[in-house]
Amino acid sequence: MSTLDASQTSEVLDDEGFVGVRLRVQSALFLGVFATAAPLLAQAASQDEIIQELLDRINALERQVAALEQAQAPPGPQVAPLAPPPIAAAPEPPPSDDATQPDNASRFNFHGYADAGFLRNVDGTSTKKFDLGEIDLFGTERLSPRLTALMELVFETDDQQLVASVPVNVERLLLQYRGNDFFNVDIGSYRTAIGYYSTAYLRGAWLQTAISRPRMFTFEDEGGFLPLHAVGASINGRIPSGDLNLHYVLEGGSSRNYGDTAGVPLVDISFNRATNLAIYSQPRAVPALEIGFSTYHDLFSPLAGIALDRSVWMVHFVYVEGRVEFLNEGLLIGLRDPSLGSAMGLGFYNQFAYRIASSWKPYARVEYLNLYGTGLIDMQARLYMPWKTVYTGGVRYDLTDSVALKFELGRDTEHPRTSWISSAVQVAFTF
Amino acid sequence: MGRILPLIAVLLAAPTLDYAAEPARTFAAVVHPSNPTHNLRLRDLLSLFEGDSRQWPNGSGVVLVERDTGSAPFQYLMGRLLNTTPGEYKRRLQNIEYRGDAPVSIKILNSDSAACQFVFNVPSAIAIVETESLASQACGAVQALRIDGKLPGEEGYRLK
Repeated sequence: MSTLDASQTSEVLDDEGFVGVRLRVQSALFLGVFATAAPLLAQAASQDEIIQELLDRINALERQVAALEQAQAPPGPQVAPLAPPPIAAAPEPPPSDDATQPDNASRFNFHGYADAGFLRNVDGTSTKKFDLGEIDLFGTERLSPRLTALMELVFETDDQQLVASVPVNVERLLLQYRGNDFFNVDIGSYRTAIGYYSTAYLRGAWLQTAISRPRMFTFEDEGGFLPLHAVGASINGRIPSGDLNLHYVLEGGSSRNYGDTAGVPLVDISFNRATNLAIYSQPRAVPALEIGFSTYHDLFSPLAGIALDRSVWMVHFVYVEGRVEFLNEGLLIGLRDPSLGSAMGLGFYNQFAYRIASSWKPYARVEYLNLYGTGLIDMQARLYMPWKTVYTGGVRYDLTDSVALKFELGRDTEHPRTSWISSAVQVAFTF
Repeated sequence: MGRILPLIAVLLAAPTLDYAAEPARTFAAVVHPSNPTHNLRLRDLLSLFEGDSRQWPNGSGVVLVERDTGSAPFQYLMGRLLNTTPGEYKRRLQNIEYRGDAPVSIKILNSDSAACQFVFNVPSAIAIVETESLASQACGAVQALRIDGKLPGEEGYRLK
């Protein structure tokens, strides 16, 4: 969020001075109006017409006075906008809430997202099935002008065995402090600001153009290798940088399950001492452009008793404007242990979408990841990050403002399997 | 292939056909008379309605006043100014909120007079109305902004 350039504005009087000037000017104004009205009365025109003319003149003169007061006001500190003068001289009832409140002025805001579809051969297993996606419930409650509570719950139906056994995932739970444009703090369970896609399209199939996410941003519980969720604190805001319009995000935390599985082999993946610094620019000269990088480091534990140094560097170049959506991200991930060896992964994806007519949005995406390394880590990492290339193409059609229909084809190559082609249809909506 | 190429050409040309039939109209961005902003760059106006800028220089939160879906100001806002669709616009605004930022404040009203009246009642509001509505009593009480230094009717005015 940013503020408009203050140099485009002029200063106004402080409240007290302004009201004093205003009362004096309005008194003189009324006297003047009545003095000029005397000849009119003498002409014996209808009383209603005279009253209406007087009201019109008062309105016109008041607008002139307001303009003159603003033009002649000496420089001073900026204050909140002043109370407006009445439109008509006749007393009016105070405006109702509907006349003064935005439509979404509630302290509590809620959005829901859900999707359903049909999948064919998505994992290369020749399975064809109808698929109930996830139900995402997102809500914020403004606790005070600077504090907001944010909660996002996801019902992940793809893991359920029975109708009554739907896993509930607390995707985010945050207490947000909004100090100003330059300093904000989020405490709780957050989404790590690694790269662009992770925080631009968190959950909610309706929000993203494609059906599938870029493979590198697969969620951890679905086999993803990037740490997209953490518990801790995140500080973010703008960096005074003029037209470069730089922003920063600084995060520190650990995985939710860290410490819960200590000493229990082959149970869970966790990480600790996670730090992330992301800096990105949204240059004012090209409003739709965002360029940035992030550098993430933690102690990653794929097995109990093993702690690897993990580093993730990402760069992104994103242009989203009008009909065009052009997303590009590059990844460098490293895993290292003095005795177990090391592995390095290099990857990227490019996604391009262009809206044609009013509702059709074809898209295409290319993804690539390659791994190399030494020792045991290299062998295990290839199983952990198996895919190599993914080509995806599809089209999104917005049936209404809240419902989208998507169709997608993909071709995956994965180590050590042969490549396969998958397809999917999805209806995604918000409520 | 001979049949596909003309179809592709029509689809790619569709963006320019969407509003080709619209008669020439001009529009104005109006704010409260006490708003110290008298001039906006077109880029900053877009930034306001895209939800990227949500504060006036004095710190007050911007309230966007938009007209109902079928109205000329709304179609101009979507089709020409923001080059988007109501669905994509909704997606964009929800995404801002979903990313953890404060929601963009919006009021939707069904006439230019009601929009001007709302702007008059809410000093931090901004609306886009048809220029011809500025002659109405409600819109006479609010301030039309200069866009890139030009007022409606002046040569080079860009909201048309």
